[in-house]
Amino acid sequence: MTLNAGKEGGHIGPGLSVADIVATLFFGVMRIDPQNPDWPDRDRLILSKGHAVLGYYPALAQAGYFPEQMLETFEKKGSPLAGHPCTIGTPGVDFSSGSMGHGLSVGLGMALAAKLDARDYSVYVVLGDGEQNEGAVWEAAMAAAQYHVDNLIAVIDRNGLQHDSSCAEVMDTEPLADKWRSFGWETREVDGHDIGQLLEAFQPEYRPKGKPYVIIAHTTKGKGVSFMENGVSWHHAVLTQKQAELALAEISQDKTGGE
Amino acid sequence: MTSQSIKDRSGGSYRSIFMDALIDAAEETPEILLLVADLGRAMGASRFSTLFPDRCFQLGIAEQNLIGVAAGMASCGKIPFAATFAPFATMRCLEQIRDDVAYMSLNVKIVGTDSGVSLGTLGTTHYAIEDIGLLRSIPNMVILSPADGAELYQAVFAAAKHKGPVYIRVGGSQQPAAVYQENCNFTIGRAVTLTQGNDAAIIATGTMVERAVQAAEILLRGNIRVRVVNMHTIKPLDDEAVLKAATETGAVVTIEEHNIVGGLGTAVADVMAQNGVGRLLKLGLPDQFSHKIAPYSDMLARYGLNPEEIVVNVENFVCKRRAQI
Repeated sequence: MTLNAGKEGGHIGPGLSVADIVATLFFGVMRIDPQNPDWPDRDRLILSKGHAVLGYYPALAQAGYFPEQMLETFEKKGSPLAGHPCTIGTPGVDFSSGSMGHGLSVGLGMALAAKLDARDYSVYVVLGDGEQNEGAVWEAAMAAAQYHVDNLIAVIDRNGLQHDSSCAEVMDTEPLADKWRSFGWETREVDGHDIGQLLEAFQPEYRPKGKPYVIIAHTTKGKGVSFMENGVSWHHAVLTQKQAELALAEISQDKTGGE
Repeated sequence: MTSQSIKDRSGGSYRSIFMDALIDAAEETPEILLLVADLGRAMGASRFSTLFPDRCFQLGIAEQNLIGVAAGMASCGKIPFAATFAPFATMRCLEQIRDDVAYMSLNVKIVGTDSGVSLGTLGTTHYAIEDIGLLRSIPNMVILSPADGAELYQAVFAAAKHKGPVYIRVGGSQQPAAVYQENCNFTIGRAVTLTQGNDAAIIATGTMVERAVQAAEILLRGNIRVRVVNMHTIKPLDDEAVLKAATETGAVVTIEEHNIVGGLGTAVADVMAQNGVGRLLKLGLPDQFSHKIAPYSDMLARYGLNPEEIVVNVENFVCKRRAQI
């Protein structure tokens, strides 16, 4: 897909860091019906770090929201598959995103609506760690605790890097878990590339009652491709044919080797 | 609404009439919710929360979250009314309005009370003189600016029925001067002609409509017949009413409690210029910040927005037009 994006390039680093989180949610956690994307009782997912679509569109296609061939149109003229997801034109996208710091508020609104309608769906919001710089994230964090919503789960893709440099250097948000705890959230840290740990964290017995829940998933930007891992320059990049082949080879090797 | 209910509300402020309307609309429509941002007490939100305890949400002093939460609720079929003072309801959270509400045309209603310079002595941070201009440039937004209490009441119902984002621009703690003695018909996007005349047309919105009517009465004594058009919907603008006024009178005066840049006057100018009809005089707040506070009525007087000065401006404009012809 990034190769298809041609000279425009794509957000490949964050796409790879979030991919395991998104895949776990779609294929191991969420109650969804891809044939019926507007089903009122479905669990919802908001990719608040909207630029990580490279880890999101393939999961939507694989889940069956739209044909996998549509992925070929990514960032192509006339395609709905933009560099940031939009509900209009892309089935399965529960909410449009792109500008940082919006998703948690929207997720809280959805979670409160569920309570009003006595529906039992959950709302998952995937945030970036650079996104933690945005004040609006903390407005929403405060309000979610105030309203005791336990059907709102935030997942932070903690890859340690943001656009300009490392998170520590740009705007240090540590101690991140303490911050969320002090805002009244149940907090849990996992390896964001360990599917077992991720699945476990989402299990009902770990989900708190009467308070919101945040999972800080420690990840690697550019995960699975040796020359991309932890490289700031791969946040948004153009791939050559050769790089694409190398990357794909490494990822598929990792897949077969890892299991 | 019966004329009896208008009478019952006489003495009410813009804020309290908004709350009356919202309560009545909420009785009819269970999806209606009220979201406030620590200015709920000013508008009597407790009257709503007493009647509908589950449907009122206090979000604190956090307007970005206010609009984001409203958007999430709207995506689940609710009709949230997010209400706070106009400067905070439109500027702090402008990106949330654009990205989370308007982008997907979600059914969020934003209510900005205390708009314009109605918080006179509180100073510029508490004025909303740019709100129309900012929201007018966002696709899918509907902007309502009702003229008085009766129209505000209707506007709340119309907003609730309309599918998509709406901004209702409301006055503050003042009692609205009545434009309508009885029921008014309120249709989004359809301007109301209040007086007939072909010497000039005053197109006014919100608080300025009643002043325009007063000005037209004074002008009539001098034999200048002015058509007053109540442009209660700024977007979508009633282009037809603008064109009719411009062609039939040749002289259009817009009046608004808003910066003359970007508001009603600019919207009307777009229509007139693109069709090449009529001459335009824009009255409103000058494109500058005020560094000297004053009570509300004095603020309006300072900027020539009382009927007497409107009369002088319209007279001069009409005379100039006649000299040109």
